[in-house]
Amino acid sequence: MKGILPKTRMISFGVFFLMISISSAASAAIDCQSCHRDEPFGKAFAQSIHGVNGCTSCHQGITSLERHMGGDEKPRLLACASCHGEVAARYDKSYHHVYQNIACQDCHRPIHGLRKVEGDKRVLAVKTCTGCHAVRQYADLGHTGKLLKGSRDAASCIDCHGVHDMPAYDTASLKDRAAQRIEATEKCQACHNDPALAKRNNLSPTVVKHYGETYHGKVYQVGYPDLVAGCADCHTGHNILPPNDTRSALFPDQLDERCARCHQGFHPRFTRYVAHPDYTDAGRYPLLFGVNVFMIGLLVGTFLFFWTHSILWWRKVYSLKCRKRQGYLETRGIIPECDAGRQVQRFTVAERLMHVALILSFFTLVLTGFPLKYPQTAWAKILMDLFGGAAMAGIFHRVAATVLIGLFLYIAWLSVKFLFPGWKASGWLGRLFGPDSLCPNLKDLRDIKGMFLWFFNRGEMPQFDRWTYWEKFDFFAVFWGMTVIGGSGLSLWFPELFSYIFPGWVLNVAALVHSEEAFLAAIFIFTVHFFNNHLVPNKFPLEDNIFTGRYTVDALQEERPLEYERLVREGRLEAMKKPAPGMIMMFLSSAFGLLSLLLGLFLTALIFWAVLFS
Amino acid sequence: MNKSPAMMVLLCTMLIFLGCSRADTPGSQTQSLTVPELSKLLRGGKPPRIIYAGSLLQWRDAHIPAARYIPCDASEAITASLLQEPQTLLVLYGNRTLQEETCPLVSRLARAGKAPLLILSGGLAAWKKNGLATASIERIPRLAIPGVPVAEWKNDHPVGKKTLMLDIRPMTPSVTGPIPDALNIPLSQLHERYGEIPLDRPVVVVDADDGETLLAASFLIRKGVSVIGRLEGGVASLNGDRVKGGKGR
Repeated sequence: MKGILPKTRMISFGVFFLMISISSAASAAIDCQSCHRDEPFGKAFAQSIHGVNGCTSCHQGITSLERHMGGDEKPRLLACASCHGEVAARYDKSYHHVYQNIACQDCHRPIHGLRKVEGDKRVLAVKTCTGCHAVRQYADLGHTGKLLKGSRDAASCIDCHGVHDMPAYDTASLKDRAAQRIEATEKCQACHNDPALAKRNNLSPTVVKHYGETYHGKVYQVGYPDLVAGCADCHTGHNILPPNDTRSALFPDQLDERCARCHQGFHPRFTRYVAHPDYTDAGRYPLLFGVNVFMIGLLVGTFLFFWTHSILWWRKVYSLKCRKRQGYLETRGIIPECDAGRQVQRFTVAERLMHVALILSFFTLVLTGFPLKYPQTAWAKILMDLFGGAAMAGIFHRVAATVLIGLFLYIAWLSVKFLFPGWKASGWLGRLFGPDSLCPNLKDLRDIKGMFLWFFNRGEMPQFDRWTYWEKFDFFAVFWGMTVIGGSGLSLWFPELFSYIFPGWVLNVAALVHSEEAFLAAIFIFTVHFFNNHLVPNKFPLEDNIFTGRYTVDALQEERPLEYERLVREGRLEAMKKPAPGMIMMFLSSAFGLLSLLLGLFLTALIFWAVLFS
Repeated sequence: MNKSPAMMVLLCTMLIFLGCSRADTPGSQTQSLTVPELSKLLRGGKPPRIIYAGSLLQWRDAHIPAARYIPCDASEAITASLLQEPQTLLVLYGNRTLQEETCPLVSRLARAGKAPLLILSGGLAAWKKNGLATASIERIPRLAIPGVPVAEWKNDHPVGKKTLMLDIRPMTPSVTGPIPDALNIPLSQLHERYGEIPLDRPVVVVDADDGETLLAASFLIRKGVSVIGRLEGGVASLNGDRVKGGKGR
């Protein structure tokens, strides 16, 4: 009995407290409305989406009705999260909560008369948002204006900004500004990259692709959006209207202001830059189209000729080498023997140092420039990071360009001195086309023909003088390349300044020419130049005389018999003979040469990977 | 030997330069504190004293639990009271990261030698971004008060004729010059000075970047002021501020 009694008492107490609790809850609802009897707490609330709830399910924290009625106890903040936890958790980190402390009921109003949303939520969102955000600016224009007029494709406020998950960016933080730009640009691209949507709305389906081909788009893609303009920087976020609409951010009068947000000190014609250039559209951009066709022709023509030349040359020399090893060929001919005791000076110290400077600056330009040419590749991002980011890589690029421009000017000066020694003009034509000149002459044309005949076993290999035709091409390719790449590069370096000379669209031409010419230069040097001077079987793996400055008399006699004969005839050969370079010099030359060779071939592989698979 | 005097001059110059840079402003006494670090301190045995240095309206609206409100322009006596417990760490915060230029309280406390004075990096916004709860004395319900774009304002609301522009920025030296014909009542003083605003004129509220106008406008409407809008984008858009450092070079 003793054991049963306490149990019975406990059950009785339990039932009693349960009844008290139920009656309290019921009376709470009744009690609330006995004071708060006016609308919207009556019928409006009862018919609202929350009408099935009691008052205290939202207004929590009242522990004593008396204290509450006496004004000593106020309910806590609305407890929306107790039911809408997932949404509330997202909203708690969103902009409107973090920076504005806007609560659920500030937008979901009237909170006591809230009804289930009917109709298009995106349209209703516009009406809610423009309660605070200017109607004329955010609803009447652009996307939202079209949405309100019935377009199903046009974006609503919530399509771009989200609803409860609008990121809380700190505009003072560079990192946040970059994240904000990425988010905005990705939102724009999500729709404007959709061909079906573009077709339905008579829009260009390639604007995103062509933005990606500009400096803005390339730096953006390679991972540095904080440095360049994204979509909203030019188009703004809201008055997205055709450029001929006076209210559009792209209207000529307003474009100055848009560009001036990042660029200062430009001529008004700077704004004629094409932000989404389509180089294949002959109708809209005839000049860009023409330049593009020319550059493609130049690339195809150059590589077609020289790659054919290299392949045929390789086949010829390799077959000769094989025949020699097989014992069918007894000539020293193409494969010179090493004669350690007899060397001649081919390049001066200044010329060798210039070549080293040229190699270092050229590699720096390729390593910092090509990530922007192929920004979508994984290696582009790695290279940019290796150089300390796009801004730092830009500095490296410009320093290397300055070195190269300096070399170009110095060589131009040397050329003038060569043509006009002691400022005397007499005989300059003879020197220009003479055997010591790098200027092409008629013999070079005959040598080209002779080489091709030799490739096909139709004649002997031509006899060369001091400079072969491919060496002359290398020399002039640098001059042509420097003029084109250097000129276009300077205009891209100082675009605002150049707008006082050229309209903005010249920058589009400059960007195209700079990029394609860089491709031509890099691939030509890493394939054709490397083959002609190092990879051809009789020189493989490295011809190091550009670093040591000397090579054997035998090599001179075999490779440049006309020069050899001329030197003997003029009695200058003996004066040119030098001892073989020291071991340290030979080691450094080989190491630097081979590393350069391997780096060039590695970069070629990266570039072809980008061309073929990106 | 010839190089010695030059080296001495260079060394002295460097020492003087370093010496000057060490003789810092009160800023050297302040130390930045992140939200996770503050949370750790709060969980520790001796929690710091947290001070919100901003406007009373904002503090009443939302603040870090257990934070106390002290205005940026607090008197010397109030500042002195904060220094009575030298063992207690002082953590100051604002809505965003507090700046000495806009909040004299920071410099005053730093000068008083309360070392180290901790400033919450990112302020209340960072606290909220970390998903931490806030407390509220009386949240001001935000009303739907339309933003007025600058172009629209210039066309439709010529300042000084009928519409009054209420500038709620603190008028510290670092703030851009006053707006002509506008009435300036800093947000930190609005709760006690709103009576100066004429009730018979429509009012447009403006601040630096439109970050605090909705709170101020919602408060003023509750006090009977005819607020018709907020200047969208704030003074920054009025001045047509340019983007700085946006160029990749």
